[in-house]
Amino acid sequence: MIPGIYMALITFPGVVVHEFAHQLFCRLCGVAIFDVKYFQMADPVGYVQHEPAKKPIHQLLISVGPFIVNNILALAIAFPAAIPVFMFNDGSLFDFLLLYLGLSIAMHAFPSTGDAKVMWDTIWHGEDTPLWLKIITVPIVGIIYAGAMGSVFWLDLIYGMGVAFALPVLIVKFFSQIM
Amino acid sequence: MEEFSTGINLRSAGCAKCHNPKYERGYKVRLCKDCRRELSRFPVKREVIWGALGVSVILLLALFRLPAYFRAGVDYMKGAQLAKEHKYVSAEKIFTATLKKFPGHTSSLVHLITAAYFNDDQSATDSLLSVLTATRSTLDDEELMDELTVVTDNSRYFSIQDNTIDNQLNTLQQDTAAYCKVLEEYLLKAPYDLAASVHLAYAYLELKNYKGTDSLCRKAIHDAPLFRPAYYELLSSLKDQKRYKEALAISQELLGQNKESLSALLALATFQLKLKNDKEALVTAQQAFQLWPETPDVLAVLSLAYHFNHRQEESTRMLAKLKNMSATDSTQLVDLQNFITDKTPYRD
Repeated sequence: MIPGIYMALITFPGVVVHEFAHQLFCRLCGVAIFDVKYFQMADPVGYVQHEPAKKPIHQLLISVGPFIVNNILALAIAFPAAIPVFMFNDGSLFDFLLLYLGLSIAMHAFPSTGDAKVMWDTIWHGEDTPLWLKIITVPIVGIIYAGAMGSVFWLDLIYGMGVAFALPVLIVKFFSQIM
Repeated sequence: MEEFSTGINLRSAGCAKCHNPKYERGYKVRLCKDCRRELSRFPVKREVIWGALGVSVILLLALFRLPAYFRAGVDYMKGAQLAKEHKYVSAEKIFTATLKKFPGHTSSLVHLITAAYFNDDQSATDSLLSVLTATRSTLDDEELMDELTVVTDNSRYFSIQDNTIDNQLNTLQQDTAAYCKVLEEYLLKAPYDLAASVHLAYAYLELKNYKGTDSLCRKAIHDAPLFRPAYYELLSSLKDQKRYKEALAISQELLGQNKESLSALLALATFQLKLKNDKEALVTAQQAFQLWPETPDVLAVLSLAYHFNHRQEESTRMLAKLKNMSATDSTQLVDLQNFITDKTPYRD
């Protein structure tokens, strides 16, 4: 079995995009960043150290930022390659490069348990947090922890394959029915 | 509290970065407005910028190709759906276009073979089957394999299995009686040879032995329900016998196999007209016209259908269009004119 750190090394573009997404949302929310590590061969493989967000919603956005950015980017990159490869068995080397990038990026879409912990501490225990935000934080944190547990049996890889390989085909199927 | 390499001192009484006493209130970390703004714009490392530029170029190239692939994917799925709905003319167009873009796509090739078979284009079916054999691709998909088996199983009925009989028949084309005798004797030994059955049914039809034609065709249809030539021979026989209701049912059976079959649509429209189901005949003829707007037989049936639905203007327009076509058979044209002008009765 490949240890997680080597898996992260193989799929390092996804780690870089993941940290970049945290950084992007910090910038959009005006949250000060103290340090960024895009990739390292240690645990954690990447991080963004930032001040606690003033508004709980900003903390939610910063934490789930990689889920938004990684998924969109992975799908955009993998989509044009997944159609020739998985629908027409006609992939070129460029298509396989795109699929590798898409898979790597999608695999790291899930926020880490560290992100979930910060989100829980800031939002659930936050004094000014509105109730609706607390309510939606619970399932998000739950899903993140479930994903972290699932990564032991390659759930992150399966998820990445779902987004980069299967989702484009499903989207095409959907459009073929409505167009 | 920590200190960071970026010069942040969280123990500072003022701004943690510049020690300005006018820090922003309400935050857990003391920072002045400018420093917070500066820190939120934390610089992205040069390597990451280069990497991002590389990915952006790849993304642009990928997105540039996306519309064409997306269109091809959607079209292929539509084609597969049309094939499931037994609309093989539309499906054939789509699979031909798909194979132009992806010549090695075995599924499209198999679907195209099926479409060609149900569009009664046996020469295209045979040539596509030989293309499939040449690709030496193995079909892992069971559904695809079953689809191909239907075509290969039925395609073998198109040629008489015994070559010597086939050669003998070629020399007897002018002598119908001898031709029939050879086939009758052969069919006693090889009753499973449906090609021979249909050949004999055709010969019987020429001799106006309708009973013989009907029985041979019905047996062939019973043995191989998707062997379409037997249906067409039976339709010709029933038409000659003026058994239009039965012919109508046979046409509908053919249309069940391929909702867009030209021959089946023409036959159905013809029998509907013969049975005075004029409105239905017009719908059928219009359906055929949508698929083959330039086919003389379709124009002729549509012209007749308009005529019997008292839409003379459209009927005349179709007739004029037919006249302008170089491929039109002059006898067909005269017959049609006579039917429309009621010089010759179309219905019995």
